[in-house]
Amino acid sequence: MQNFLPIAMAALVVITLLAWFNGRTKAVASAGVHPSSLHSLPGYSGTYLAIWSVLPAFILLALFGLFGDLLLNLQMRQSLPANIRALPVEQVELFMRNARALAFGGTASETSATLLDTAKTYASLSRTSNFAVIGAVILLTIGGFLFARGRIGKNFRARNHVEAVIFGVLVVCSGIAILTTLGIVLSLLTESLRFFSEINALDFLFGLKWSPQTAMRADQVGQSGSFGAVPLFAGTFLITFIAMVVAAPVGLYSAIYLSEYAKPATRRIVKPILEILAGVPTVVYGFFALLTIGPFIRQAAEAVGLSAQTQSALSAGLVMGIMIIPFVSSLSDDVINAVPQALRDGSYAMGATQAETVRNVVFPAALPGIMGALLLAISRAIGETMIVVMAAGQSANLTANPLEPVTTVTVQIVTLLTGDQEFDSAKTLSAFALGLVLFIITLVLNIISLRVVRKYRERYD
Amino acid sequence: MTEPAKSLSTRALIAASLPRRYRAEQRFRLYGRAAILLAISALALLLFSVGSQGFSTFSIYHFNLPLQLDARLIDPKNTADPKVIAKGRYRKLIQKALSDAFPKVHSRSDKRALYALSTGLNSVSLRNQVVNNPDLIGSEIRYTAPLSDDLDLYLKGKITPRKFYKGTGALKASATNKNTLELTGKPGAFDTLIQHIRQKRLVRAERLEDRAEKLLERLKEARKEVAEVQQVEVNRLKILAADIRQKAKNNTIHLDKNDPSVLINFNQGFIKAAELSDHQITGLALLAPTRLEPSQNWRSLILDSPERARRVTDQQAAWAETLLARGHLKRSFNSIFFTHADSREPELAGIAGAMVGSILTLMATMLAAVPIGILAAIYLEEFAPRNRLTDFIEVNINNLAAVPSIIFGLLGLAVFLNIFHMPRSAPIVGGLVLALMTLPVIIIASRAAIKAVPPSIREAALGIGASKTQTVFDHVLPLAAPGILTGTIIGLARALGETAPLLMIGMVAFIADIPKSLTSPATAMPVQIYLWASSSERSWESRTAAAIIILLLLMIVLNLTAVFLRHKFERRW
Repeated sequence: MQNFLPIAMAALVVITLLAWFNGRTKAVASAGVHPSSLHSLPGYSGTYLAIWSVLPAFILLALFGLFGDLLLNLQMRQSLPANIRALPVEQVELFMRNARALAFGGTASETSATLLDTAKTYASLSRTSNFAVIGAVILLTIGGFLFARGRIGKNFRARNHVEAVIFGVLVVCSGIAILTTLGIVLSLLTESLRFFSEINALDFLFGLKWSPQTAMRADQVGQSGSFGAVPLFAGTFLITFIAMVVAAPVGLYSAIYLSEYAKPATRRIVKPILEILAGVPTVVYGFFALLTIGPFIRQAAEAVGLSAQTQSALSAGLVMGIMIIPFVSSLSDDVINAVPQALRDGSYAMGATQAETVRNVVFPAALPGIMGALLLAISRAIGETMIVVMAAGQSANLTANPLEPVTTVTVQIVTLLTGDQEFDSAKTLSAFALGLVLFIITLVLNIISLRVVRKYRERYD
Repeated sequence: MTEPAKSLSTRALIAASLPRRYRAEQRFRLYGRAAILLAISALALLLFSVGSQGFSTFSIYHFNLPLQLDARLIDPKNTADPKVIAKGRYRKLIQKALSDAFPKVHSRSDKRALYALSTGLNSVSLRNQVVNNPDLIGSEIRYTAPLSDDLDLYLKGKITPRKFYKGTGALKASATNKNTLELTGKPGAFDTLIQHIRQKRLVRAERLEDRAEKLLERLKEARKEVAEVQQVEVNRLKILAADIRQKAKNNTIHLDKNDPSVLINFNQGFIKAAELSDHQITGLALLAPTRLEPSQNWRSLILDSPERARRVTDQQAAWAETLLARGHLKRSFNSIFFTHADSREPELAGIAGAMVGSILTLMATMLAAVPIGILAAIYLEEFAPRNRLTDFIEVNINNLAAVPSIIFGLLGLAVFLNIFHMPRSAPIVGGLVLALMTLPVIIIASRAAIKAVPPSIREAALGIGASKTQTVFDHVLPLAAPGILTGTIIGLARALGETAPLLMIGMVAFIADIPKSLTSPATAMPVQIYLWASSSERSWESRTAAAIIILLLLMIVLNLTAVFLRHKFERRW
């Protein structure tokens, strides 16, 4: 596989170039002494020929690369001996994995006659399919080349054909955004459904105890684990709340000052500086929270006689608030700037001071947009991962005390999915259920806020 | 008050309220300024705390020690076979070089402490050096491996301040028994030392009294049984504090395990004080002085943190100080940090592996996201009919831009790893996941750039007979390119700093090699930062901060490039 890829790439480039020159030459030749009598520029004929020689074969290869293994697996599963197929799912999986390892050079955890047999058919099946695909690719290349070359001529509308292909590529590319969303929804849904087939959805959404540790052996105590996600939602909410307590006033006042009071020069300097806060990677904020803010909060709390730990909801929330300031400020800034000047002028004419104008006229006029900005900021805070992973702690703690460590939805997704574990356990699947909840919440917040912000902008335009 | 107010005219009422309203105006402005100041100072604090913690990592203490490449320990039978040479006892060689520097170290535990100055993993680089150049066997080379991270921190003053006090007057030494020395100076020679210890003791006593105080306060609210136990604790603390205060007054001070360490550097030896008065010190010789004759040339070293509270013993500190004085330790640029991949030993860990991983990941991201993003933007802006489907795509893209990044990680895990069986921890998978995440950013930026190209350009191209496709690709796209490039770079810079999705697809593993291809296991810079930040040892802190400095510098470079491109090529129509 290692040296196959460069060879294939090189072959691709060579075939493309050859086809392009060949098509171009043929088009020019077909025009005879009057090159201008061609329908399309000769280069288009070349491109046409190159597309037909390479694209079909490339699509086949890509499909094979993506789904070949899957098909092979399915095929193998069909041909497994009956006694193996009767085994429980995990053991069949294990058997298949061992067979694969034996067939393609890996380390198998056991060997047996049936296993070796299966591995042998596996390897031969894989070899046959590889050869079949290579043969098909060569056939497609030659066939495509000959077909397209036959069509090139003086009156052939090469440009239209090429442009149709380009158009198709454009459509496919914009479809990838939809495919991504679809992929997210489907993968989250299927895994979550598998999770909910084991754990009651109501227990998950309203249960008060979160301890996803499931036992390895059936006879261990507490083997089922409990998946009540309320402590996680509470932790997420607490940290988001603290973050918004910091970010909302600071962001709003900055936006108001920058758009209503600041000189253009100040604005030009301060705005990008605030924007830097949004550009700092979140893992840096996590480090900052863990090593600077966390210890500071602990010492401060101890100085006034409270007990606190380095990892706490407060330190994560404070730092997240700092991170979110620019989201609030730049969105609110846009909204405030969209408020028409006539409203302000009217207020000044009535004798209001600038602060009164902002508070009583501009702010209410901009309120829906500001709410949208705040909602977007909240959705950011809920989905933020690294700060909470590093600074909020891991223990599922149902508390409203900001000095205690809490855990959040995102933290649990990370803890559940980092490290090696089987993919089918309820513990791993619960991460997808949490992901689904997270996705739905943020999606709803985003849709509402985007709609509000957009609608509001249009009204004053 | 209310009666005459009624009779006032409106004008007078307003005039009366003006000062209040102006004050409110001033306050409002102040809030705005305070908010901005707060945000900027938070940024400054963040950058300062990272910078101050990380900067020290860029230089490090290296050995500069003569090391005898003894043939008996490498290739005793003189076979010159690379396999034999590779199996030489290089760790022993390093240990011998250290023993040669301090020949009087005999006991096993002392030797172990001495060998801890250089991590065992250094033998690997020594072995490679010899295997690559077998002619060195038998000769003496300079051993230049990094000093152990704890001692490096100690020498940088990060474990406890290294305060040297110049001694006044001559000092005379006499041995009381085998390892104990008595140092006598003129009266008052050790006054500063005694003052220092006394002050530290008073601080300690105060701290104990504080704690007793706080316990007493809490005691009032506690239940009776608890209160009794706590009362005992309060009494104990008070007695301890009183004892410390009493002892601090003594003329002769016996240093206990909670006191700072006092080391006297005299005639190239180090004596650890156990008992000191204003002119006399008795203590253990950590390193024997070369001579006992009186000498003017002495100084004292106070290490404030007590020995049991730190990872470097007084003995090790004495060795490190001596090596430094002899020129066998040198502080220089930390090239290891920039050329090595991750390691279990902080002094051998570097950022190079993560950096290459990040570059590979970003390459995959770029290859996938940039063409797709630009083509999608072209379609949506130039070709797409205004209908339900296009609207849906648009809403979709806007929503994707706001989906939490960890969700993309879940997508990558479920689709790329579990359905398509792509390799775990590989930059190609990370790159694809980040590409899906960056795609909306690139599409939105590219659309804005394409939209900014005036219709006259398109009309002119169409007017001279270009097809729609030719118009877009030959005329609109080149003019929109700077804007597209700017948006793309900003999107990629964001992808460079992204951590959470990479955790999901297994790029968190400990990887001690620099990745070589898109499919070999790798980590990325932000993930490396996360991994190091989760390690508990002190010396990882400064390395994490240093890695952050590098990451931030890279991001600044990327963003400045974007700003530069925008300024250089931006056209206003």
